[in-house]
This record gives sequence, C-alpha cells and structure tokens, in this order.
Amino acid sequence: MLRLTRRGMLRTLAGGVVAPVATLPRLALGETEKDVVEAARKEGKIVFWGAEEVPKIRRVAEKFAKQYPGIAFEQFRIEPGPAIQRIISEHDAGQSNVDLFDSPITYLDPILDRDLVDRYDWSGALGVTKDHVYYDGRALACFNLEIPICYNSNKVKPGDIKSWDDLLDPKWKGQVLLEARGTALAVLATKWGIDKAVDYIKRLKANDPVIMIGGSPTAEALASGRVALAIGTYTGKIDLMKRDGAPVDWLLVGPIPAMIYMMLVAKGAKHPNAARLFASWLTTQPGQAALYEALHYGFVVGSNLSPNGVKMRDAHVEVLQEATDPKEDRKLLETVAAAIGALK
Amino acid sequence: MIVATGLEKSYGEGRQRVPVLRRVSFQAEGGTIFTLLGPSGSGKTTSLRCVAGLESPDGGEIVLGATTVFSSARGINLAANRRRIGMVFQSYAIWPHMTVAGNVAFPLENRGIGAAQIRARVERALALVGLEGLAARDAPNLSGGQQQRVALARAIVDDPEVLLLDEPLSNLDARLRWQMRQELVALQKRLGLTILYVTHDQEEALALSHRVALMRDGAIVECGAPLDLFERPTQRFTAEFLGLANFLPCAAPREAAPGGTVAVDTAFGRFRARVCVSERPEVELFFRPHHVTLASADAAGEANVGAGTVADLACLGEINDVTVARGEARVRLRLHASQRPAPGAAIAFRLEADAAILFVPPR
Amino acid sequence: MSDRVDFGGVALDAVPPRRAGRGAAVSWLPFVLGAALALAAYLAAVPLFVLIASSVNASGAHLPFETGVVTLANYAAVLGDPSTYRLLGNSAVFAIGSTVLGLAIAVFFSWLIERTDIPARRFLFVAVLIPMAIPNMIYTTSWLQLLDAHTGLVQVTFQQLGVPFPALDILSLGGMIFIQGIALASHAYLLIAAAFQTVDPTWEEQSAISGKGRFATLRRVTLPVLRPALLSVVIFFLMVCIETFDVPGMVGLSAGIQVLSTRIYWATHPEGGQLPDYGVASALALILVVIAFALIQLYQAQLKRGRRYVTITARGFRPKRVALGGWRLPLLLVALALLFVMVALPLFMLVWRSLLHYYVYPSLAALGLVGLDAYRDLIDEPQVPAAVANTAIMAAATAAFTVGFSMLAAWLTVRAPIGGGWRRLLRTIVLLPQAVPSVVIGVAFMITYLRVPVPIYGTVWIIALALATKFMAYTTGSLSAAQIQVAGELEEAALIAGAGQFKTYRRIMMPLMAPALLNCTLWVVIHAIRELVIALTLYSPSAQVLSTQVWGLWQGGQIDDLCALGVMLALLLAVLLTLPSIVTQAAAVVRGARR
Repeated sequence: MLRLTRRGMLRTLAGGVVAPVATLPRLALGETEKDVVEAARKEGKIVFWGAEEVPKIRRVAEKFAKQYPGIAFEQFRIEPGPAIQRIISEHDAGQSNVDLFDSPITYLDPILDRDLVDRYDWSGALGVTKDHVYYDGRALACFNLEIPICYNSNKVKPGDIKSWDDLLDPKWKGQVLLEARGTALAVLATKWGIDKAVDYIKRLKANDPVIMIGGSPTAEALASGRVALAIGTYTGKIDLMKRDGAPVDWLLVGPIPAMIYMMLVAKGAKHPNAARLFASWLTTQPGQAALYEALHYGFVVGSNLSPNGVKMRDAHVEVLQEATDPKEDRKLLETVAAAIGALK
Repeated sequence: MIVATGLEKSYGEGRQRVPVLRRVSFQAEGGTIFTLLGPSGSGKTTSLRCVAGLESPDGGEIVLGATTVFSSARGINLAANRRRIGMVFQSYAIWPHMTVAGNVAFPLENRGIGAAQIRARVERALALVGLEGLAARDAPNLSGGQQQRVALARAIVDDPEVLLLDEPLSNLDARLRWQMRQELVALQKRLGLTILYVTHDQEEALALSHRVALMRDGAIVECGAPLDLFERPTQRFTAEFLGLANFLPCAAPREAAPGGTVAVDTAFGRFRARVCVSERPEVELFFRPHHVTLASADAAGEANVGAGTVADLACLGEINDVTVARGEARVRLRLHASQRPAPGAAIAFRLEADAAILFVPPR
Repeated sequence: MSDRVDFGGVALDAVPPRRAGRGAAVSWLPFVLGAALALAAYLAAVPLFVLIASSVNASGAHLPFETGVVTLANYAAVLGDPSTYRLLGNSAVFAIGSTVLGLAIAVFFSWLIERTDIPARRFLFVAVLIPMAIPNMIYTTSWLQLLDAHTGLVQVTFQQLGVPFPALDILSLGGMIFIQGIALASHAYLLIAAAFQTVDPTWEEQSAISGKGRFATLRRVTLPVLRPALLSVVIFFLMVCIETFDVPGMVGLSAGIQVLSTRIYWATHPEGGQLPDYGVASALALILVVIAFALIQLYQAQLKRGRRYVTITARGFRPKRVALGGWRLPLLLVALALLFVMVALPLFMLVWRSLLHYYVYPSLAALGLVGLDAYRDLIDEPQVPAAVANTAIMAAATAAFTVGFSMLAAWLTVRAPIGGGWRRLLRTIVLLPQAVPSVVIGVAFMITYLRVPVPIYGTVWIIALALATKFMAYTTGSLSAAQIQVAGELEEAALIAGAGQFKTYRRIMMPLMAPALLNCTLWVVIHAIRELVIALTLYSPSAQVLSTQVWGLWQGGQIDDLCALGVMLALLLAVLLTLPSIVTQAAAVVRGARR
C-alpha cells in the first residue's frame, strides 16, 4: 500500500507540467480505497452544491455511477458566494445539509478560517496526485476555468493578436470588452505584479473598452459582434457557443490566466465517503473526460490535462494559475476591480 | 307574552356616552299585536333588537313567555339563536343564494326533523302567506312583496310564539302595504301569535295594533290602545305625532287644572277643552282637523265655534284641506270633498265636543 | 349608509355602516379572538422585533444574537456612510420616476377605456392587463435584450432603417425607471379604472353642457374630481416602488447600480465572497420600514379624504361616454402604439429568444437557427418539474393559510360581537406587515428561523409563511370589504333562525362572499408565483420554486432557458388571471342550462 502511494507520488513529481497525455494508470485498489468505496456505497448518496448547469453535471454523475454504482447524486444549483454563506449560516445554526461543494479560491477563506472543512489524506487514501491537493488536504482542485483572450471570428484573425499588449493598440478602440471583475488581470498580476496589472488596466481604459458585469453577458456580446475581443469569459463557454455555431473562439496567447475550482467536503457531511470518492474520481482521467464532455471544463495545469490544456501545452503557451492564498487572491481581485471601477 | 322591564342601553364611552334606551318597560299580552311607534332615533328598533337578542341592554329584564331571556341582575343573556322567536327584518334579509324553499326551511334544519316533514311545514307556511307554488323559485327573482312574504313564512315556519317585525311594510308601495296589513292581522289571529311590531308610520300603528307604545329619545312617552292615544292623548308629543294636529297658542285661564275642563279664548273663538300637562312651556289649545264641521256664518261667537277667512284650499280628492286664518293665527281643517269654501271667503267652523285639549306647562 | 370606497380591491379602512350589534356573548369567542390576535402578532410582530433586535446587535459576520453585544454601531455605520444617501437618492428617483410614468400611462388608458367611446374597448382592456401575467424579472430580461445599447432589437432595427436612435443605455437608473414604469401601468390601471367608474358622470355632463370641450372637461373636471383617488394611488405605488426588488435587482446587477431594496438583499447574500453583515442589513431594512410606514400613513389619510369625492349609488349608473369624434382614430393609434411597446415587443422578444441558443437579430436567415431545445432542456432538467411542484404546494399553502386567516380576521373586525378596542387592535396588527417591504420580510424570517426552533427553515413552508405575512393585510382588507357588502341582517336572520355562528358563516356568509373569496385566492396564488425576493432569501435545495429557478438561470447566463421558462410562466399566469371570468361564465351557463 505504502509502496503504491510512493510510486504515485514519484510519478507526479516527475511529471510536473509535462505530464503525458496518456492516462495515469489507475492505481490498483489499495485497502484504504476499497474501504472508502465500501463506505460510500453504504452511504448511497451525495449532495452536491455547485453553480454548474444541472443537466450537464448530471451527465458527469452518470459516468461516475457507471464506475461506482449505487450512489445517488443530488445537485443543488447555487453560486459559490451564496453557497459558502449558506453553509456558514447553517453550520452556525447547527445544521448540515451539504456533502460536497465547489468554489473558486476567492470565497474560501471564511470556510478555512472557521475550520468548516476537515483535512484528508487524498493522495494516501485515494491516490490523488499531489498537484491537485490544496490547503493541507482540505480542498481538491477539480478543474480550471481559463480566461484567455477571446475573439469574434468575423472581426479578428488569430494572427492579429500576438500578445496582451496588442489589445492596447488604438485600432481596437471600442472593440475590446473587459469584464468588470477583471479576474483575468488579477491572475496575471501574480506574474506581472499588481502595479503592472493596474497600469495595463489604465492603458486599456484609455482605449475605450466596453465594460460589462458577468461572464455570460460577455460571451453573448462577443458572439453578437458588438465587440471584436473580450477579456473575461471562459474557454468552456466559448467552446460550447462555437459548437452551437456562434462566431467565437479563443486565442493561444500567453500567459493564459486560469482560475482553480476547488472541491470541498463539508465538515459534518452526512455522506463524507461518497463525497470524497466523487471528488477524487473527478481528478482522474475518466472523471476529467466526463467533465470535459459535459462542460468543457478540465485541468490545464498538472496531470490529466484536458484537450484545451493539451493544446496550450503543445503550443508552449504559458498558463498562469491564480494565487492559492485566498486572502492574497482576494486582495488582487479587489485592487483590479477598483482599478476598472465599474462595480459599485 | 313579552315583558320588558327597565331596559337601559348606551353607546360610546366616557364623554361620548349616548343613552339609547332609558328605562324602557312595556308588556305585550299573548296573542296581541303590540307596536313600538316613534320617529327615528327613538329607540324602538333597539328595543326590538334587545328582545331578539341581537343587542344586549346594559340593564333591565326581558321575559318571553315563561322564559327569562335577559336579566342584568341575574346575569342571564340568552343568545339570539336560542330564543325561540321569528323575526322579519326591514330589508327582509332573504338569502339570495337559496331558493324560496331553502330560505323558509332554514330554521327547521337543526331541529332533527325529517326532510319530508320539513317540506310539509314549508309548504304550509308558504300557503299561509299566499305563496303556494313558489317554493322552487330562486330568491333573487322575487318582487318586493313576495320577498316580504317569504320573510314572513320563514319567521313562522317553526311555530314560534313570538314574532318580531321591524318596519316590515315601509319598503312597499301604498296599495301593497294596505293589503299586507290586512293579511298580517289575519295571520296573527289565525296563529295566535304575539307580535312585537316596530314602525314610524302612525297610520300602520293605529290600524294594526292592539296596544301602542309611543317612544321618543329612548323612552316611552305614552302607552295605550291606538284610538285612545289618538283621540285622548295625555302628552303633547302623542297629540302631535299621531296625526294632523292644530296647536293654537292662547292664554291659560286661571282656573285651568289638569284633568278638568275650561273654556279657552283663542284667536278664532272660545272653545271648551280638557286640561293636560305638556312638557313644553307654551300654553296651547289642541284639536284635530277632522273634528270640525262647517257652521253657518251667524253661528260665529257661539261656544265651540271658530271664525276666520279661508287662506288656502287644497283639494286632495277624498277630502279638502282648508287653512283658515285669523290675524296671524292659522288652523287646518279637514272637510268633506263636497265642502269647498272659496279662498278669501269668511268661514265658520264648529268643533266637536270633547275634541279639544288645552296643554299647559308643568307648574 | 355605507360611505366606503375600495379601489379595485385595495381596501384598508373598513368601517362598518351600522354598529355591529352586540348580542349575547358566545363562549368560544374570546379564545378565537385571542388565537387570531396571537397568530397575527406572531406573524407580523416577531420578524419585525427580530429585525430591530438584530439591528442593534454587533453581529458583523456572525449570525445575529451570536454576540450578545448591544450597540448602535450598525446605525452609525449606515448613517455615516455616504453611499447610504446615494442609495436613498437612487431609491427616491427610481420610485418617483416609475410611478409618474406608470400612472401617466394608466390614466391615459383608464380615461380612454372607461370614459370615451374609443372602439375596441374590450381588446384594449385585455391587452393593457397582459403584462400582469409576466413576472417582472422576465419582463426585465426582455427589455434588457430589446434595448441593449448595441445589440438591442430596437436599436438595430432603427439602424437598419437608417433612422437615428437616441443613444440610451438601458443599464442605468433611467432604464430601471422605464421598465418599472411600464410594468407598473397594468397594475395601476386596475386601481385607476375603478376610481374612474365611481365618479358621478353628471359633473362631466354639466361641464359639457356649459360648452367645454372633451379635453377641457377631462382637465378641469374629471381629473380634479379624481385627484384624491389619484393621489392615493400615487402614494400606493410610491410605496411599491420603494421596496420592489425584481427590476432594480436584475438591472442593477448588470448596471452596477444599487437601490435600498437591492442593497439590503445583497447585504445578506453577498456576491463576491464577502460574508453577510446582518447588523448593517437590519439597520438598512429598518430605514426602509420607516419610509414605507410613513407612506402608508399618508396613504390611509388620503383614502379617508378621498371618500368625500366619490359617489356610489345603489342603483349603479352607467356613465355617459365622451364622444371623441375626430380624435377617435389618432387616439386609437396612440393606444395601439403604446400597447405595442408595452406588450407586443417584450412578448415577441421573450418567445424569439427562447427559440435560439444565442441571440441573433431576427431575420429570415435566423429562422433557420430556431428550435425548441430550450423547452426540452426545461422539461429534462429535473429541477424545473420539482420547482413546479414546489411552487404549486407553496402557492396553495399560502393561499389556504392567508385566505383562511383573513376570513376569520375579516369576520372578527367587521361582524363579531366584540368590543371596538379589540377590533382596532386586530386590524392594526394585521395591517402592520403592509409597511414591511418584501426584502425585509424575507431577511427577518431568515434571521428568525435560523434561531427559533421551529423546523421550517429550508422548506417551502417558511416561504409560504413569509408570503402569508406579506399578503395578510391585503386579503384581510379585501375580505373585510366583501364582508361588509354582505348585509348584517342576512347574518342576523340566520341567528334568529336558530343557526350557530359556524353554521351561519358556512351557509350564509361564505356562499355570498364566494366571488370575493375566489378573487382573493387567485390573487394570492398569482402573486405567490410571481414573488421573487422572499423566495430568493428563503429557498434551499429542497425548496426551490419557479421564481428562484428563473433567477438561477439568469445568473448562470442561460438566457434561452430563462426565456422559455418565462413564456411558460406567462401562459400559466394568464390562465389564472382569466379564471374568475371563466368560472363565472361557466356558472352562468350551468345555471341557464338548469332552467
């Protein structure tokens, strides 16, 4: 058992960014994993709180059920902010209604500060690769949300833009859309430094950008041709719209900012083993394949890359993940949002 | 038998306390029609509602038949739905969502009688009021008169001993009113009901009742047989309310003692009158307009003959209404249709003996 | 002798025409009265009390009452923050602007339909009321797409026609006012039309006889006579607009503008990872309650004054209609144009968008992209049928509870043989929630039931209870008015006939009040389905309703699904709205056939 684990760890450390596309071999069923599966089956149910569309997550859950039958999947659709707040309020009132929930990093510090998530040996018990385990085993990364530069294919050719600075070119005056929260730039600030990011925003604002609130309105505006370029919508959304025939696409221009979505198992969850099994399964190749097929979400950093992640890797485009310290992450976001100045 | 003793009731609190009934007492003999007559605000309807149990007096006692239904001293207040009475409201209160039969049968529903019996009694009641065959009619499709009869049928279907009627005829036209009056009296005689009747129409009261209690401002002014009150009122208010009246201001002779008779000088002549004490400060000679006959011109100056000039003549069809003037004074006379003195002409009239009353202020 | 007036059912000040007779005391009456008072006080007063207590609690990011510290710091923070005054300013501008716009449209249509001989009156009447069947947030979504500054249907159409269109931004306070104003017009129409119907036409006739033209008559006779009624309607809708959430919530979310009601909601449901500050939220909520309370006092005072000007004859006159003559056609065109904007455009946008995956300007080519996928998604997505079931349960429970309680409260305040003081007390308590805005009720209930050990938190029942609290005032007022219409003597006759109070109520009052009961029930059901902010504050995984589904779709950017759901909701509400007339017509047919 121990040997297998160490082998897995070594593989991960050796892999790094350049992990093979070929699947990480399924770890042979160790005793601990067998126990977890058994307990999960006994629990028979997972209650999941997430913002993903229900039919799509359902498709992912169905694939999970094929591998681990007998575990019902119940999803409550709720945005991460309200979800965290509800979990805290309910916990304070002595209730626990959720097993598993997902959230980007920014919302996590109240949960972590109040110790509402237990530590767990994901790698040891379930063989999850260490690069997806965070906060001392309290959270598991399950997918990235990449925020590349997106474009309307009727107005822009891929070769027109080669770097972020190209967006500052006066020929794109009024044709660039910046999402008001500026998440992409907050992530870029981890490499550029916050001052350079704020400066970039200032220069972009001089180019008369359209500022909107929300990733989906951003995508809609891009698809309708209102703007030529957009910062603030996700590859997954763009891919799905492209599939439906919209004239949109995203650029392999680095660095590509990527948020990290974490899965957390609530303290006092009624079905903790089932929840953990599902979360860990999501990080494996079959899980990632299911995620990608349903939502076009996946990892673009680390092991088990999604097809988009592969594209980025093959094009040697740098991928930047957001700061993993929630407080620092939020401070960057607040500074960026203030610089954009559209959120009151 | 209805016996009400010392009924008192006030509305409002503190300084806005308005007394509505002031120690009202009356007694309706079994099998008679007893009428509470008076202007609006006199307390007659309130008294009726107290007897019905729809209002509770502040003090007093009410006995229906052998049962004391209310007694403030003994703390008895029987609920309205437990007093076995029938009542006809001024608005008839026919339930529009039921048929005639439904309305009439309602009081029988909780008696534990079978449906066939109920139907029989409903039909009997409808026959008694002259509405046979209308049992299946929807209540809103009734005329005013028919509604009134349905209300009556509903009130008597349960064979009550006491029947309360709250101005039941006031919404009918004159002809129907006359007809219903007759039917009511016939019904009462036939069923031996004790009826407490409330009205503001003195003609009705005089026609229907065995006894009348005249009410004003929450108190009974005078009570007695209708004709007694009409011809020989002992209160000025009674005199004024019960029919057309002439009140001639005049000087009180010194020997005027209540109960006795005196000769009174008035602007029109000298008349003999009984003396009664009135609540007003003026001295007035009272007589009714129809107690006169035309006299020949040379009768002027005789006792009980008045003289003056015709100021106005109104021909009302069956009678003539003549206003006679003498100086500033005016009296109204009711003459037969054939007697038509010309306006401006001199006129002399003879007052029937015993028709005049001198009202003097209390000492 | 009844000098009452109720404007389209909004009747708050029911004065019995004759003092209810105080017959013999009924033994169970004190218990019933006590129970009614206790229940009303519990529903109305407890959340308010909790709110007040919470506002003086230094809760910060904790649940209220977690820290036992009493402090005025929340008020200091709120009153000292300049953004609070900006909020109040936004709320005031929003309320005034929407009310003015909505009332202007409503008065125009009321006058046209009720007092003139404009043709196609029945059609106009139905058309004006259609927006009532569309929940405000659906209506808002339509308009956000219709008037989007760059891709709006309206702007693009004008562009294609080569006609310049003013540069407007729908994502602004002005946009909010526009949408709220025209959404309001339908509701205002009902109230104002009712007022128009009660004005003595002889005044207008006299004006006509004295030679004044029809517009002069309108300006110098009709409107001034209606002024008290109009004023009370104005105050009423100011109150509605100050506290409404749907339109400012949806527009403000994308526009980054806050009003008082949205600020309160987001203080308790923060978006960006902050934690709620219940103390500050409660303080803000109480400010809103104070404002609403002041408005409601104004409204009641105005209602009282308005009664002098209105005549209702028992015979029911038919007012003579103003002959429009040459103005018929132009005014009809204006009316149709207004209706096109208010009704046709948003409906079209709703349907069109529901047929596409992403927005495309309508064209023959675009027709190739339409499909029913959004509708299929809705049926497949298991949350939607579950939400439908929950909504049905919640609406039914709310209606049953609200109407049931109101029947009792109406009887107690109008007819029961109890003292005037008790009557007034009950009426005051029942009316209390009128002054509490929806968002405040929602937050108060949330805070209360997180603490109070009654296990309804997180179920449909808490939503039903909160809605019942909100609707209680309206239904009690409405049923009180209906109760008064049933003459007291009809009840007394039943008592004399030997029936007990229950039997009297069941056999006499209820059948006679049946139309009012039906209307009240439907009103509650319709508004329960439309209600957003209370559901949003109190819903949970097992207690999702249709309005929260719509909000979730909006937040998730699934606009096509949202529009599909909107179309289905609008159809459902339209059916419910026409139910009373269908029922009465069917009943008439049945009665006719029986004969």
